Amino acid sequence: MAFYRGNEMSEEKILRPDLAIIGGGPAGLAAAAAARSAGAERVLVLEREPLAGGILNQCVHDGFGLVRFGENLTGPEYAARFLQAALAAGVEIRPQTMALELTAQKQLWILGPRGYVRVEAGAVILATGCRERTRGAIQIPGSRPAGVFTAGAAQYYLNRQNLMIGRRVLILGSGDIGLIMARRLTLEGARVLAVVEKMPYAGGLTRNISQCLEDYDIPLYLNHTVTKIEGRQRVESVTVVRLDEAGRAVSGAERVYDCDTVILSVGLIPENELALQAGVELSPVTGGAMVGDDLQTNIPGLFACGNALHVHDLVDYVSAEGETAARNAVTFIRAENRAAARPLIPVRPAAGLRYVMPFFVRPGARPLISLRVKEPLGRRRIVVKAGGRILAERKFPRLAPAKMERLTLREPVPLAATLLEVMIYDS
Amino acid sequence: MIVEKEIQCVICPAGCELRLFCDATAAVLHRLEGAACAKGREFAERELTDPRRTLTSTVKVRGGRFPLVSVRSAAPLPKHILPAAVAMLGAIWTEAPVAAGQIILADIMGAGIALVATEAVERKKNDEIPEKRIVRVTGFLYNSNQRRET
Repeated sequence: MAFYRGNEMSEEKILRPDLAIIGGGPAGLAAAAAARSAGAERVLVLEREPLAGGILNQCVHDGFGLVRFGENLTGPEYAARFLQAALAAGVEIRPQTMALELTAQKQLWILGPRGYVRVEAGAVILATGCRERTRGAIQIPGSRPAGVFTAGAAQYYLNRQNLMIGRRVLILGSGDIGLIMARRLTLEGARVLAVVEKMPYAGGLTRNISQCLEDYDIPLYLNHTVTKIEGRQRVESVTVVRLDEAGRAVSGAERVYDCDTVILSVGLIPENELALQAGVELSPVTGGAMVGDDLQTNIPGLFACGNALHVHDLVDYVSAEGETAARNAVTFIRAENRAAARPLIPVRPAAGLRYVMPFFVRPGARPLISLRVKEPLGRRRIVVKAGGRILAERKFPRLAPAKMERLTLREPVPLAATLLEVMIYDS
Repeated sequence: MIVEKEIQCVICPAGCELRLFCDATAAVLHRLEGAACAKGREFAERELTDPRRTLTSTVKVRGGRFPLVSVRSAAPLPKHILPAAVAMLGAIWTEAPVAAGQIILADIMGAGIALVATEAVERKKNDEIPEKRIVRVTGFLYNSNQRRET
């Protein structure tokens, strides 16, 4: 960093917006427009790519916006609505601008076409999205030939760069982007041999299993994984093995696929390099910040939302979360309510829940609770309790880890509460 | 004779599991279970007689800031023509600038449904730096192209 800091090239050395938003994807754009309507004067969005919109720009398929607009939009269409709203609201968007450093005092250093600039904002929102897990993250043995892609990288090559990535493809992991790419590659003339999933259930939404795999007769093998990738220059073969109930490879249950490409759709991790620099407390479960119901991190005035906070299933909810973060950030700027407003009451998820968002709630707040289960469950009732009091309750015909469920408290958190419990009951 | 059939509704992310009770030819829906809304019935009936899906893909752009423009069919297409339709898209191109919502093809494969752009692609500006001109030197990205291109 010292190298850059000594290299002041810009005519503007310091920016002082009310609110700086890092990331111009669905979370950041929604947050920006919401911050303007909540009364923030100067709102600055920092976007690394030449175009705002984030990952939506390469998600050319449809299925976005059904919750929010009641319309079935493609990724670019959904992004354009928020981009236009942000621009109409008078938000300043800086493309090709990278946030390089964030301090515990919310000082931000950015690098873009206008040089190297310091940003001192009244509040900062982290809307940096998430990254894909790679081959290194899951440690597949074998050689290291070309032809192993993450699903999002494959999507970028096909949908943005007009580059075909292979002819015979095997997909490891059944995350939504992997399923979408199975369909896309098939339609583009590749042969998708199989989707292989380690768990006994799919990682993606059931509608994607149906419309991306079943529509094209692509087999999905649950309880299977890849044990070896082989090839000298390019992938030549992949060994797939069946797993027993304990997740161990069943000997003799191997099958070798002759293929030139492997796509990994094995999970997403919130992008939090800047948050870590600033000293934000991260959750080992979600990989995102341990926020309160106002989506504020442990650093006063630093907020997080969208996939940088926790990986969502639907972009509609990402946008909504961005808006919540923005409204709370504006409240923070107005009140200058430093550490005093930190939420105090911890939220405790029941054993069957992977996580519950937020991690803390303030007494008197009426937050939205998001959660994911650890494994598929049938008919269940989810109850939010403080002391003996039921604050929210909802029945679900079934629960799946791929789906993020949400419920809003019907009454505020009691002032005397010391713990918010989220329980699952057979109903 | 009543035939039972299970399908997944793909209209929305709820992904209802539909159970269809239809006649022997699987063309007439007698009874439906599992649909959380009225769209489920519509989907189930259509799935039996004329299954359709929205086509989403990309088309090459000449003179654009980006090489491709994302496109969709203005309405869902008969499912069976999708592979041929995507193959056909590989053979066509459009000229920049492209506006979002612009009609790229008036009629996809005689289905009477238009192909529309789902994003805007600006014309490439002359002074934009081609990516190849960015050279990596000792870990620092800089632009070797100081000359304005014509």
